[in-house]
Amino acid sequence: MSVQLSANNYRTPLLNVENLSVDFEQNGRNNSAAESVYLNVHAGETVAIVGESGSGKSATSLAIMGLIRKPGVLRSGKVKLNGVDLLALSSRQRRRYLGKDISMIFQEPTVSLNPSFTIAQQISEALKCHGKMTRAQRYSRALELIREVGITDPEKCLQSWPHQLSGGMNQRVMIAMAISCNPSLLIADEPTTALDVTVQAQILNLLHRLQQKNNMGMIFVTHDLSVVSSIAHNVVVMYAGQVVERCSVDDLFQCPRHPYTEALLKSLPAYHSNTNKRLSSIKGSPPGTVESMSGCRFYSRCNYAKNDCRQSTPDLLGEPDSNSRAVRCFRPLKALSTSNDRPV
Amino acid sequence: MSELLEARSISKAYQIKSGLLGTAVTSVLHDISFKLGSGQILAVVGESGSGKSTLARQVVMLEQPDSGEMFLEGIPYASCSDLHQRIRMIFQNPIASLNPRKRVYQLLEEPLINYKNLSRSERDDIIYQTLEQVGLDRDQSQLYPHMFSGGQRQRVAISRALVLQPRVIVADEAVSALDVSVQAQILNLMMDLRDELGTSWFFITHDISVVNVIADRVMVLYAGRVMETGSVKQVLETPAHPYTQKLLRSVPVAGNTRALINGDLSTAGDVITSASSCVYWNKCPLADSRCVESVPPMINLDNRLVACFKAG
Repeated sequence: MSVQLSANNYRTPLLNVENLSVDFEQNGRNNSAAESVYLNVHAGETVAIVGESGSGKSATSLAIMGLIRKPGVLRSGKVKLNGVDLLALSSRQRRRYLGKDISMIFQEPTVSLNPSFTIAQQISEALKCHGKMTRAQRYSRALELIREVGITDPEKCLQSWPHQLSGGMNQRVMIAMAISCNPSLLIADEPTTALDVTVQAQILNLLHRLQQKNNMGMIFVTHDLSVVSSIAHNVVVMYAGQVVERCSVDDLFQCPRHPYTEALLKSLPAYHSNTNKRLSSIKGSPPGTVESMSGCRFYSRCNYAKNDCRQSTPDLLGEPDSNSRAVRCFRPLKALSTSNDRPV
Repeated sequence: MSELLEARSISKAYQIKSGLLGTAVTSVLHDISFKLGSGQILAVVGESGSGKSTLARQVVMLEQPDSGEMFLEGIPYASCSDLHQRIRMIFQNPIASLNPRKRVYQLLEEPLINYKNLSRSERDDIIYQTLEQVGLDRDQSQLYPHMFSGGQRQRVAISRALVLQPRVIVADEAVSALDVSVQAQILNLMMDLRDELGTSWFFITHDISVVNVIADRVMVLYAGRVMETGSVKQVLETPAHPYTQKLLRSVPVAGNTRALINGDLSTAGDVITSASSCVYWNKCPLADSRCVESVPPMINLDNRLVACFKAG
C-alpha cells in the first residue's frame, strides 16, 4: 500500500480542496467552523476526517458538496473535482455534478430517506435526473443496485417504505442511491455511527468492496478511530475548525506527531489492555468560539504547551497542497511517549 | 444472600397491533437471570432490538416483568418500598433527559424533595457534595443544562442519579453519544464512584472496548435471550458462544490498520424467534438439526454460562 501511496502523490488528485473556510453567523458575530482546510483525494483512495463534535468535520464535508446553508457562510475556498471548481458554479450548474460525480451518505439513514416515497421511487430519482432511461430501465437498474449492496430480497425491498426496513437496510439503500450513477467521489458522513457493530462491519466491507470495484475516491467523516483504522488510507485530524495533523493511517496509530492526536489515541478504551485501569482523558473541553483566541487552539488542553503556544499560532507545516505528512505544532512529537500503551 | 441485585427468569412480552383486529405478541425478554454484586459493574451488550433497554426498564421497575422476579438485597421488588431511591437510571442523551427549564440545582433538588424529608440547608449540603463528587463546581449549580458541554451535561445526569445515594445505577448507553476524550472522563468518573462510594453499575452498551475497560462481568444478549455471561476476561478473551465470537470479530480494532473485519453479508436477515429452537440457529455457522429442534440450556463452563450445544 505504501508503494501505491507514494505513486499517488505524483498523480493529479480526483478532488482538490484548497483553503476552504466556513463560518456560522450568530447574533451578528462570525463563528469559524472550518478554517483554511486543504485536502486531496485520489481515485481509489479513502481519506478519513477525524475529530470531536464541533471540530468542523461535517462543515467541511457539506462545504465540499456546496450544501452550506444559512446561518453558514462559505468564506473562501476552491473545491476542484477533476479540475472543475464546484464552488464557482451556480447551484443549477452544480446540480449536474451532485449525485452523479460526487455523492454523499449521511449518519441517520432513517432520517435522510423520504418517508413518503417507496425505496424504488427514491432510488430512481437520481437516475431520472442524470440519465435518459425509461421507467423499466430505471427499475431494473434499481434492482441491480439493491442486489449490489447485499439485500437478500431486492424486489420486496424496492416496494417497501423506509419505516419498514431496519437501520442497516436503510443505510444500504442510501448507499445504493449514492452509487447509482457511479460517482467518482463518495462522501460518507458518519455512515455507521448509528448502527450496531455487526451491521457496521457489513457496511464498511460493502463500501470497501464498492470502492475497489469502481476505483472510487472516498471521504469518510467519523469520530471513531477504530473505524478509521479499518477503512482509511490517509487521515486528516481536525480540532476546533483547523486541520491539526495529516498523515497516513499507519502513521496516525504508530507515531502521531500532534499532541491532540496522541491524546485522542490514548483516550481510546482499546488502548488499555488491562481491565479496570484508568483511561487517560483530555482535560477540559474544546473551545466554543475561536474568534477571540490567539495562539494554538489546543493550548489550554495540551500537556506539552509552553508560553509561545499561547502567544503565536502554529501553521500547518508540511506541503499544504499534498497528502504528505503535515502537523500544526511548534514542538511535534517524535513517538508515542509511553510505548507500553500500545493497542492489544 | 450476598448479591445486591438479582433477576430470576425475567420474561417480558409486548402486544402489538397487527392488521385490523388482531394483536400479535412479541417476546422481548425471555428467561433472563443475572446477579450483580455490591461495587461491581455488569455490562450488558447486544445489538439494537436485543432487549437491553427493555431489561433496564424492568431493573428500575418502570415496568413489571410478565414472569420472573427481581430482588434487591434479597428482598423481592414488590416489597421494596424505597426501590426508586436505591436504583437510579441515567440515559444516553442528557439533552433529552434533563429538563431544559430547570437549573442544575433544581434538577438535583427535585428527587430530594420527592423522596427525602430534609431542610433547605440539608439539601444544599447534599447537592453541593454530589456536584463535587462528579467534578462540577458549586457555582455551576445555577446554570441551565444547555450551558454545559456534552461531557459536563452527562456529569449533571450522573449527579442527579447519585443525589439519593443509590446502591445501583442503571446506565443505558450513557457514554455512547460522547466523543472519545470526553467518554474517557466519564468512564473514569464511573470507576471512581464505584471505588469511593461502592456504587454498582448496570451498564448497557454496544461498545465492546468500553466493556473491556470498566466492567467486571458481562452479559451478552441476543433476541432477548442471554447467550453468554461471565467475567469480562473470560468472555472477551475466549468467547464460547458463536454469537459472542461473531460480535467480537465485528469490532474494528484501532491501530490494526486496514484489517478486513468480519462483515459477512450472508448473515444479514431477520431474527427467527421460536419457542423450540435456538434463536441464533439461522445465522450460526455451527448450527445443526439439534439447534433447530430444541432450545439449548444454559451450561456452566468454568463459572461462565453459555446457551449453546456446541460450547465447551
